[in-house]
Amino acid sequence: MSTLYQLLLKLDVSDLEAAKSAWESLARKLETAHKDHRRHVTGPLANWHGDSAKAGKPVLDTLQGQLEAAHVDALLIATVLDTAAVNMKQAQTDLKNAIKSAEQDDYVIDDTTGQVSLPQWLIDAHHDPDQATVLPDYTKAMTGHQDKINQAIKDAKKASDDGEKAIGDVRAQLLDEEDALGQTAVEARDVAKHLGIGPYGIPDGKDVKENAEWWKHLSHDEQQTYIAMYPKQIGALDGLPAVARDEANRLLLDQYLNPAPPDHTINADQFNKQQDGLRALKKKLDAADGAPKGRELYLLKLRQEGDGRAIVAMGNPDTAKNTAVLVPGVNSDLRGAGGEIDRINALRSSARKIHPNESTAVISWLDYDPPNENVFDSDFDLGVVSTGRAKEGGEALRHFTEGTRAAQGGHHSNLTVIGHSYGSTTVGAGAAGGHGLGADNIIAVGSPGMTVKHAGDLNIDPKHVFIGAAKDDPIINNFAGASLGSDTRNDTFGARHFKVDTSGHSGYWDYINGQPSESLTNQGRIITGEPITTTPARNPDRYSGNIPNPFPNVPQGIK
Amino acid sequence: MSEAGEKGKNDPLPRMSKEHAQDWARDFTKRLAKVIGKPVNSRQPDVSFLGCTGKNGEEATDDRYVMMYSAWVTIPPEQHNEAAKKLRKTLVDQGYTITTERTYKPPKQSMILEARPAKEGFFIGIESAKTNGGYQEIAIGINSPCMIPPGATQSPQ
Repeated sequence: MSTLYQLLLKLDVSDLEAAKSAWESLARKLETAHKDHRRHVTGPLANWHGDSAKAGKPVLDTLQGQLEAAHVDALLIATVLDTAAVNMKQAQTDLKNAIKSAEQDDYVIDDTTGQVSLPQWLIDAHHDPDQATVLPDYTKAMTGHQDKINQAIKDAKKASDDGEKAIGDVRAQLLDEEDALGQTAVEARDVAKHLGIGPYGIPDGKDVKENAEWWKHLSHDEQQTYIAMYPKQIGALDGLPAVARDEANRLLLDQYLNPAPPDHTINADQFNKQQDGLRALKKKLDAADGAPKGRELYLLKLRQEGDGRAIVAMGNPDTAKNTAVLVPGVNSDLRGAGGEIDRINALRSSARKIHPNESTAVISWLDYDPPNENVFDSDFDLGVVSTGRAKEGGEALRHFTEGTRAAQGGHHSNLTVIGHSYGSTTVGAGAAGGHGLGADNIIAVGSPGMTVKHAGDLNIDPKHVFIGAAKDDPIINNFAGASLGSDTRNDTFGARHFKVDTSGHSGYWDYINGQPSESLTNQGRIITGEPITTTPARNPDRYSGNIPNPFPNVPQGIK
Repeated sequence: MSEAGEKGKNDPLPRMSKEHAQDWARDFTKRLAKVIGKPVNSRQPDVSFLGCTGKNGEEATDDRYVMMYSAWVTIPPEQHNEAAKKLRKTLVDQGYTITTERTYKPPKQSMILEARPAKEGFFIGIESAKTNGGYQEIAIGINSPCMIPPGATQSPQ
């Protein structure tokens, strides 16, 4: 029987490498099968209703989940084989180097055990009086050589054992389990632990250009492995292509929807609320799976913590001629994902109707924590809301728009950022900070203030700042100019004002008598660079002293 | 988006499948294109189904929807105003009420014509569309009222 020493010397990892390639090839086929199933099977059947749909849809959904889980598992197995092959090959190289170094110094190495002995000439010189002088040094060096050989054998054994344990983490019977996708997250974590590998190489995310460059230089298989093992980190990296982020976040969404093990850090109500939000998002994403190019959805970020966060794009923002980002306001959470996606669809549709040959991508950006207040409650006082969350969100928004530019590379999309309600405060804070949002246009609708005194403070030509204000918008009428910035309706703000024919605080994307409202059409026109219908700004002097302040406790002016 | 249940929020909604609604819209656009003597061009129509929302953005939990359908006709800009006149007459003859009508002379040379049906029916929004740097096409938009597919249960709002 061969010893470990002999096995390592003779080791041929080409079988392992071939097996790794075979699993990667299988992973690619499963990736294609999963995507095809989404686009060509479940996608077109999103509107399938009735008894047969009730029976058939869960079967198709399960099959789709199994394809996704199998894809992740094939990538995990390829990673285990690759890591084992690389580590064992490294151990073999270390062993050969140790042998070479010892032999150069005339030491004798046993072919069976790898035992290092003193040079023969030194042993033969036992009558030489000098031998006693040099013997301690040679003995010490011999121990060093032996340690290196032993370490190489130990490393090879560890690589083999780790690989065996990690392969055991990928469970063959997984596909029979209901929470298979949730289990893939556990598998990925355990595999990483047993292989002693972490999210090495993933940039810290701060530099969006560095993120984009890093991703560009990975092979397709490497990208797929990062997505399978670290979907949360990859899905959140601003600067990465929308397609990659979407793939990572959809896997994350499926893992969140099949938690394994259940999260005991939150109570049942919080858990149910999170799951409701995630399901609402999933339903909307699934319904668009068969959508034609330009109306496909990309999930650009996902978090389940708290009220949940999501960034969803309709159309690919990396390649679109026009890109718009819509930032929602108070009381937004994942459960309202359906309504937000309808709004971005209405904006996209409005832009496309008048520019049918231009691609327009519209993004719903909920990646901050808006105040959770019922703005329609008569007791609600926006004055108590500070600019704190807007500033925090504004920074994240700025990073996102920088990332969108980085992902676009040389292609410069006409970028419009739209803020609604407290979302406009967030847009204002983001634009006013750093070097601004890098947007070509900024729109604020239903705005209680944009944290600044003047549109010129938003790091953009004020001619490209547009304000939409419904006459009966209670948020504007009660809170504009209070604690969140000056009143954007006023001529002193210095922006352009487009015609609004809708009513209330939430109607800016409404259809009136079956037609897109002027409020909506004007936003579509701004996104595509078309002329808008305008309305004069308000002259605050005309109103001064005439309007009683209904909220005397709310400090007026800018903080 | 549409205002769900403006008349009475729990009135029964018109029932039509999404496929059927698209068929109707396709037929409408062909007929309107015929009025101006041009075919609907080969670009794939843009079809979106949105949820019906309430005045304060409330979303219904059932399967109610609004369809927005756009198709395009290629027609030189100098013929847009004449096309608007023909379409207006046809729509009025068929009982539609014109809700918006605007025509612009050169250099802006373009038009907008919007109409609503006498009773229940689809809304029509026609306007000049820009391609190749000028208004070389007319977009015909067909928008449905808030509807619900056959077999789906209408939830009280």
